[in-house]
Amino acid sequence: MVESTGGNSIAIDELPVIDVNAAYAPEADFNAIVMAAHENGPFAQSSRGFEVLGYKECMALMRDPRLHSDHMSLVNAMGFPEGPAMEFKKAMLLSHGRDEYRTKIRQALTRAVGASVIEKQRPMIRTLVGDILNDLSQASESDLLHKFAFGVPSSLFCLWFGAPLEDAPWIAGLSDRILKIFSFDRQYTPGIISAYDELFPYVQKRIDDALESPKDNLLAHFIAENKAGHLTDTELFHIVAMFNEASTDNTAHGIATAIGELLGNRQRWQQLIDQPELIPAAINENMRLSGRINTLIRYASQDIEYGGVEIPEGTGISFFIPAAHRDPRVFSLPLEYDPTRTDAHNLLDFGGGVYTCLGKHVAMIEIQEALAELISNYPNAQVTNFDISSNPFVNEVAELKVDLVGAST
Amino acid sequence: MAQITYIEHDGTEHMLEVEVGYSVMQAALDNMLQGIVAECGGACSCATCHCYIDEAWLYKLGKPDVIETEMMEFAVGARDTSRLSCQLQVTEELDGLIVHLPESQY
Repeated sequence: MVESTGGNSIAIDELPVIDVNAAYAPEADFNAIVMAAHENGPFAQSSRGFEVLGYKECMALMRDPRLHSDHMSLVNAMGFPEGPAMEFKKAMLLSHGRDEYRTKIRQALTRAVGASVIEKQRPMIRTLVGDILNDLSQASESDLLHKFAFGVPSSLFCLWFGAPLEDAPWIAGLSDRILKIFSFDRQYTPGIISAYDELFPYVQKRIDDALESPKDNLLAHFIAENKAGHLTDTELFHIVAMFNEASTDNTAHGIATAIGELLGNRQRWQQLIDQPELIPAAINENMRLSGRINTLIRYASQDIEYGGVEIPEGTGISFFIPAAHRDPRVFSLPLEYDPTRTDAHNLLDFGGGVYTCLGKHVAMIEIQEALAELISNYPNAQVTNFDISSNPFVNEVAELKVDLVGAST
Repeated sequence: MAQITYIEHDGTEHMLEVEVGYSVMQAALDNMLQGIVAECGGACSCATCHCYIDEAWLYKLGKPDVIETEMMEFAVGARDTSRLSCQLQVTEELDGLIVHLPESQY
């Protein structure tokens, strides 16, 4: 157990060890490894460095102004060459620390997709989800991953930015290639760069078309902010490009995971058929146990002492999200799925503090509406193949095949 | 619509007509008010939309839920009258609400 005694803090290399990679090995008992680690306290060391396992400790450190994010370290580690993609990465929001630019862009984004604003778009999103579901083949195996889970956010991107809906699969593919950056695997770097090379002229065309023939959509909102002087031309361009990056891939995996795991468990699915009002809580609870993000990383901006541990400046701090979501000090019976639990806390998948993902609100609406429409239209659907892989950074759905008509035939 | 009065730390007053269903935070941001930062966009995740509620209105808002209460620990200068404005949904009953903005959100 980590304790601070007599005011003396300990070094990271004195902490208990957790083998994060081993926890994700195919034969590993992930829950057993994580719960055993919790018995040693809220912190650990691993080959990645400093691990935060405790929920409250994640909450506090995610909001600690002495920590910062450093997306450029990842960009450099992935070997991005100089060029438009690198310039975009240097300029974009993720690469900015706690500065005025970050706040300015985040406030502009909040005016566009903040919680209250985006809730007004729920009926439109519900209609979009219903249309996509209606277009699906009722063949014995529908590919819900590509045609539905990816189809919803990529189609929403098209509506928001005035693109033809038939571009949606291509948009989804771009987002998928670009977000391979979080694989930490340089074999994907050429594909990421080529995806940006395709994305940038596409973004410019969207803006040019909107200026020529304005529509009532999200792009029009950002253009109005540009004309009002709240966003520069470059910032407008970057925001549209950023939406492609941020709005599709993670949401698609969120939709697919929710369907695969909730529809894949008949008892849980039946509960949602009987009590559809539980859908938002069920999604949150499933996300607690099987979210998209497994690790978020911050860096110490200065020497820090926290919770009895010395954290030197520059130390990488890994927030081990699935461990925090299983913290027995916060969640009763933490390994049990219970959409009615009274100790449901804010989930950590979307980060926290000034780095919270601003797409959280629309992503959750998309997942909720996707699940609600599926339950409403195809209550007897059955999963025929659900393949989800996990690594220390993300969970990724590789396949989701569903017999939509299912047992009713 | 409901009329909400925001009073900055220096006493500057802003009276806004806010659509029912919007949050007190969103209205402040949409109208470019100083004093509400709202870095997380209304996710109850950053405590930078902290405000003080005029005591006459406090009881009408009800109590904050667990998540807001937890997040309040990260607000600078929290008091008994503190709330996070992203969690205050505007209703007709809140017509006339007065909120005081803190000197700083960080």
